[in-house]
Amino acid sequence: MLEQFSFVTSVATVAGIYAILAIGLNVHWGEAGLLNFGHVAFFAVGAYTSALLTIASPSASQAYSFGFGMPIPVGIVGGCIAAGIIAFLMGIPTLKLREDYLAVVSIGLAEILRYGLMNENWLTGGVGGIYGIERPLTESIPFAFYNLFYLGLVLVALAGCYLYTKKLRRSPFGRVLRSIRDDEEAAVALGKETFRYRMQAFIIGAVIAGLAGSLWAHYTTALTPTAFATNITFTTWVALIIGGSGNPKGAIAGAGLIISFREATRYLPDVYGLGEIMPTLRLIFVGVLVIVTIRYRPEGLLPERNITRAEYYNRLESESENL
Amino acid sequence: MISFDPQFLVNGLTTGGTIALAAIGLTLIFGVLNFINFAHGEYLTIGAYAAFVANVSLGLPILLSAILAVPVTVVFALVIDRIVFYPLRRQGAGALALLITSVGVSIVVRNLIETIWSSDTRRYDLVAGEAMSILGIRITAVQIIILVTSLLLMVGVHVLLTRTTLGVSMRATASNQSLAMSSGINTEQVVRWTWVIGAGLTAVAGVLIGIDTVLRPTMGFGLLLVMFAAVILGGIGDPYGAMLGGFVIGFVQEVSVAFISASYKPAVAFMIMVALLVWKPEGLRGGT
Amino acid sequence: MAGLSDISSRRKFIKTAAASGAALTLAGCTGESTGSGSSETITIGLLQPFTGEVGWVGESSEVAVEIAIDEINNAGGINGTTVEIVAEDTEAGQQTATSAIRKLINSDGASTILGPTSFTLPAVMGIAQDNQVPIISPTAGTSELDDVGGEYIFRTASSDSLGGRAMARIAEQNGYEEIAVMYVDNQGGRSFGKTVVEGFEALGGTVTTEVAVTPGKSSYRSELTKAFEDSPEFVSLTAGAETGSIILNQWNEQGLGGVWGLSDDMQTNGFASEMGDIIEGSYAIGPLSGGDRYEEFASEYESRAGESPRPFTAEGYDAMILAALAAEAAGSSNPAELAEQIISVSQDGETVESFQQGSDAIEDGTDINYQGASGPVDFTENGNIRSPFAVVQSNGDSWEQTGRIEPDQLEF
Repeated sequence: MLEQFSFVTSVATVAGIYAILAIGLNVHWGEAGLLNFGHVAFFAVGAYTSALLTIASPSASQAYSFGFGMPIPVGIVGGCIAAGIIAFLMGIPTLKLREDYLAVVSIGLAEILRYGLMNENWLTGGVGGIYGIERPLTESIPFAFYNLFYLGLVLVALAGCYLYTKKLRRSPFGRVLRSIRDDEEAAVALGKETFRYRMQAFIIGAVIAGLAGSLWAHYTTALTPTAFATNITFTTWVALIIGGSGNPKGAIAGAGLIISFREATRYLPDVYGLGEIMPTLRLIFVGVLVIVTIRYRPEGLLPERNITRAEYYNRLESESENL
Repeated sequence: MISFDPQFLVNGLTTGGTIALAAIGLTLIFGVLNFINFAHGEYLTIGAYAAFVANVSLGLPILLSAILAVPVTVVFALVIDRIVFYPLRRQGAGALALLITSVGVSIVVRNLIETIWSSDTRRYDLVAGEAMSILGIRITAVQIIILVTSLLLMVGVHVLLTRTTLGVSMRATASNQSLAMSSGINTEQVVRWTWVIGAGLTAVAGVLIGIDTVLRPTMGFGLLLVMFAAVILGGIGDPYGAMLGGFVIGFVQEVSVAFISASYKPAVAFMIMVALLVWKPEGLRGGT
Repeated sequence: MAGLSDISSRRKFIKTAAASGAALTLAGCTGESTGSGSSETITIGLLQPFTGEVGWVGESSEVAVEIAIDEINNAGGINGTTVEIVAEDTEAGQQTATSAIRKLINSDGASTILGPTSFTLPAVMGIAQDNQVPIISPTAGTSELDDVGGEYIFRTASSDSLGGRAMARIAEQNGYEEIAVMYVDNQGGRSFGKTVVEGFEALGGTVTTEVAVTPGKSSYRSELTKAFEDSPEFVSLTAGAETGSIILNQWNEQGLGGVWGLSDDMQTNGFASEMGDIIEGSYAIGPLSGGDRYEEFASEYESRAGESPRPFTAEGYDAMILAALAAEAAGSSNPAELAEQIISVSQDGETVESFQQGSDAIEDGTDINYQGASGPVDFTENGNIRSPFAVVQSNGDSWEQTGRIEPDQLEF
């Protein structure tokens, strides 16, 4: 019976990792109002860094040159730090731009990163990627329970991120961040400080995404650049929009919904010959969902507490006036 | 490192011409409607597939199919605006809501096309021509057509913007919407015509690309970032800048193959765009 | 694409069966261990891309595997039990493949996994190994897998490190001294393309340029200009059929000259006739299929799919038969026990050419050596095959075999 649940467990694990990603994105968008469309870059950097730090020294037939064989916690922390550094570098030129420029630039940077992953074989293993990544505690945990254990690990990380961002929201830092987001005059009054606050938020969200990436690397044990394309960013965005932006609970709910939907549609019996077009139908449904959500319930399923829809539209509108 | 081959110039100009056409549309729409439309690439795809239906499914000659593709795409654009963007505008939703919504639109349209025509590449019913050799540079009849068409259309846009009332209204609305409204310009009409021109030009770009190469459902979306790069290069809201930007991007992309690995070619446009936004966000022509 | 719509109705049936099977298993929750032989049917997982640019791989391999399944069930099944397949789509994507294989192993209780492709095999390898379920891939050629198989990972397709050398041999044998190499920038293309470069240089030739192209683009004119700048006499192209056809059309339009050596995705008669005169005289390599076994398979395939067999289909058929014979030799469909027999039934023993023959011989206690439709399919200790290659040339309409390359010609 455990085997049947194993499949459900694996879906839950993927949903959990996306939830962590979404919480990170929520720090960017929900808290700081940053339209980051390059989120997958932090995910990728976290994953590759953790992989390279923990994997054994490569054999001659491997394309990549470095493997440091460190323990997994080092890898995970390293992944988070690397993602943070990348965020810092990306943020310096872009966080001063207006929001919609950031959207375009962030995609551009994420794509450049992906091309780098594909081509710099000496570092990343290029197109073939890296496989055989270590998993934590494989000796201590009986095989039958391992997937459950890993799900537990992801859930613990998720809980940690959730509690941290909740604390962040209530802190003075969070309040200032939100006022920058909502009221450009306050932002102008703060002057250069605005940039500092935004950068901090950007790095925090990126570190969380890096954590998700590290967890992902040790889960799938194999990484290829094609897995880090823009659709991961978009899935995360959709999860956030539908679940409720500005709200970490919403991020988790959205991620859970989207991933379950995706996996559940695998099981649909092939009625009316729809099987072949199911992947595209699924995506059409998701697109329509986004359009409808923004139109009728832009706050998402679980809205930010104490904010009405009118206020939400105000927020979107006032931000655009500042553009 | 290889020596510079003027062949790259020709390739770059023809690629650039199509990018330029699509970019004009994107920049006009941004200028007048004030939001970055992530679904813009889909007008390119719709145009190409509309011509495909006319040419391959209905058996019409390619020229007629190309011409028919324009009103079809324009109608789509207007309908999408009416049922998706306009209600949001009326509600007072800002640019960010529109941007995110346009992402949803692009997902729906792209996948609808893939549902109907599958992800296989399609071709128009054409006879492939052999290239002619002019001054030692190879160029096909199609490439010449692309260049000529792009240039003609750009001249047309210029005439429109400077000599017609509509064009003047468009420029006025783009630079200051409230002032335009108070001087009696019917902004909703301007908006509608912006869609017509923007989507129409992009549809032509789509057909040209389809004639030159192949059709696939991601053809427009795949070029979206490149179009953004051209728009930003030329200065947002500036149609002449978009034309220039398109040619420069196309040219640089093709020439870059001589210097760096061809697998980085798509990334070249992004790198230009990022560099520009950081150091010279007003674009090459400076200031909007 | 008339033929493949028959395939899709077949796939509908399989999917419905699979879905109801899955639903029943979940409801039943019998608590049986994975892949145990005491259930009423034995399940084989077919893990391939069914959507996207390489969606044809899944669709065509399903036909091939079904041919094998019917043959097996008509001979009484594996150890007297009926066999069925459950197909899952990898979408050629790592994440999807990972959850798909987990479903096949855990929910469906697959005894063996057939597939997937080079794009996703490295990602799912670990899962199969951890669960002790064998994978036999009929398509994955990437040389990254050269040293990792043999216990649970096998493939009936040749490694690119052999295929690439074969291509280099062709160029050398035909007297070309300067060649260019073009390949798509992904797992499949790179490992083949780089091997051609290394191989040709090892044979003493010169590679004038090496060009990696991004697949899925609409125009490759600049890449072609770069590849042909030093006027190579021969150009090796490793690409999918769609990318390949764009490149070849634009090459033709530019009148660049030279002779092509095309990779196996383009080695179908459908491609040859569609391209027509453009590739007349071009070379390609393919598995040395031929002989009666292949002809039988091909005609059965054609009657089901309405077109001649696509690349890797005969390999898929052989993979299924091998899995079945291994299960017979093990006397059980438990995946770990099955895995242990895979190498032994593929080589070193009495030659058998069909499931029936093999099954009978095993019953008599004889060691068998299965010779397949795609070639001798003898697994090395790393789960690879060392087969001869067929050299084919296009006559403007189809591919004709004009030579062959033996495995020992590839040692250099």
